Amino acid sequence: MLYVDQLAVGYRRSLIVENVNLCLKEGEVTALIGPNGSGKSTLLKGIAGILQRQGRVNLEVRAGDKAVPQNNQFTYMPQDTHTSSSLTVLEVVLLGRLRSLRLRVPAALIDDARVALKKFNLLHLQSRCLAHLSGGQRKIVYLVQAVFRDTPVLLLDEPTGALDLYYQLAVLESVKSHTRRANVITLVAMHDLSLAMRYSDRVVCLQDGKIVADGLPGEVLTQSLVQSVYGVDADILDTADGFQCVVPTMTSQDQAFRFE
Amino acid sequence: MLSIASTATADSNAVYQKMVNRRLLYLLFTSMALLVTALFDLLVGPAFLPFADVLSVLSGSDTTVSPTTRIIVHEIRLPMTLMSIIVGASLGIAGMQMQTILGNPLASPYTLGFSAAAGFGAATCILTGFQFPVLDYLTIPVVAFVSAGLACAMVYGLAYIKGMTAEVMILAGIATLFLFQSLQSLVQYMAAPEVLQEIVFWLFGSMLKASWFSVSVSGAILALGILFIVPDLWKLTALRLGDDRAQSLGVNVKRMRFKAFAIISLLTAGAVSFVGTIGFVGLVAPHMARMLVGEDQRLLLPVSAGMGALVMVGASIASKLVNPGAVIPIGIVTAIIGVPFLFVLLLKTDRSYW
Repeated sequence: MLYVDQLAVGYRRSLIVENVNLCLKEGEVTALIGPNGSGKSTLLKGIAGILQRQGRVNLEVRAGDKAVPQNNQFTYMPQDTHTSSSLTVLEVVLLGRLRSLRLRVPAALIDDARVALKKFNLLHLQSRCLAHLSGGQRKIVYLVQAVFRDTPVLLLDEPTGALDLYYQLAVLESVKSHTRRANVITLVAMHDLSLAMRYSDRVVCLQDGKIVADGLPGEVLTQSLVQSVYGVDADILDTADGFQCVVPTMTSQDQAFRFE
Repeated sequence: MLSIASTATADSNAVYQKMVNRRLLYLLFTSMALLVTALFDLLVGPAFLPFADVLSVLSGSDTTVSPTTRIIVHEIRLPMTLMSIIVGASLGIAGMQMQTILGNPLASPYTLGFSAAAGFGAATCILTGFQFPVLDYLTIPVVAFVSAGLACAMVYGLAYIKGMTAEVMILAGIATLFLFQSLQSLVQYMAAPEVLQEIVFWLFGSMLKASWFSVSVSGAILALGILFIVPDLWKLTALRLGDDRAQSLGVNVKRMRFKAFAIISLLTAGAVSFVGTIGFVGLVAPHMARMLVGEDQRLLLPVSAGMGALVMVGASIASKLVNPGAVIPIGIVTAIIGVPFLFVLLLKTDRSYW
């Protein structure tokens, strides 16, 4: 279990996220939703320890499990994929196991990286330079690296941004199955509410740096929440395959979306 | 069910090994090229020495070689060649580290003002005639070393206050360069013509200042620097993915920058305080190395060192050949030698390297 207690995170003197309390379970995908600037990335970085934080973040291991060192508890995958690095895809994935890398890379580690790449259909790109890949491909490479790092907590910042529809679904499917299989705690910041409903076990909604809703996807993602948090009227519809999706509605010309 | 699993069966282990082997081959080529040019550097000079004589002196086997040749090789040329290798390797590694920790292809010990600071220290000593009461021959190197360290401390201090970001470090470094270049100009403006000549000669950078003592000190600093860098090679590689990602992979980015910065200042000061200002090498040697072996720092480190040494030894040869009978300061010819080399590599490399 990951306990986040009275967490406050910010940059220099201004706090972006305050009073965050969370309790995340192993084997569960939690979607972190909220408007732009609500503090999703800041919260993830705060939990990962990348930004200075106040409050407590405590990973509790189950009885019998070995305690994980502080710097190997979290993997944070940033949303930005821009890079000028000429590292190859395989090297990037190998860096996921930085703690195990020595002057001579063990053959078993390369094999593991190969398996990880194969799972995400990236083996054919292994020798390609990272900077030469599309933004979407880089996103998946970084996701493979994050999974390959093999930490008990996975913090993903918009892993489906820049991906086409198929890969959005495939990536989240893989994230979910990895979460179940490896029994890790996964917190995913995302904008697509329909995908959040489809792939998460739980939804946490942030607004202005504070949690305004936390619960099962169907309970959190209601018409009133979407209206109050995003300022958008939306219908929550049932899909043919038994899920729910959020569809924005525009009833009159007066509701046309524009920057105001 | 949606899946991105593949049925590809390529043997990635073999592919990876092939890539590493190819890079190792480049390292071997660089080392061999360095060996050949270093031997050639020992032959050329105001007096061209026969290859066999130089080999005999180096191996210490043949007693038929004249004592003059022995002295030329042992006391003049060998220290100069070794110093070229050490200075080139130090600046190559320092430049590589600096470009990596700052994520900027234009960063180098020269562009961030460390060499200019060393030059200012030396120029001030020459202008004022200041000398240590004992070991006076160490005055200029020590003052130059301290000045370079001061410049590093200035850049680091400012960056530390502002959170050790690469942008602040680069800006502070470039401001430091301008500051020390202005101070150098001021010292030169104030100097009498004969003192000015001495200052300008120091600032050009010359291997004529090399001695066994400077070889020992700079060599020891280089060895120490490498010793401290080696455990962090993978962390430095991870830094090329950006601060957040590196930190997420377990790298303490601030501590890494501090450590690398301290090593860079040591290497740069060790390199330039004995032989004078040497630009260009620290900037281009890492680029040349990166074009050949990519960004895996396990190989980038030795190849950057090798490329830096190669450019310096090449420049040393050119400095002796351009005007037979005289030795032109090496700092003047490093770019003349290095630029064509860099252009060829740029044209030959079909993949991006930064």
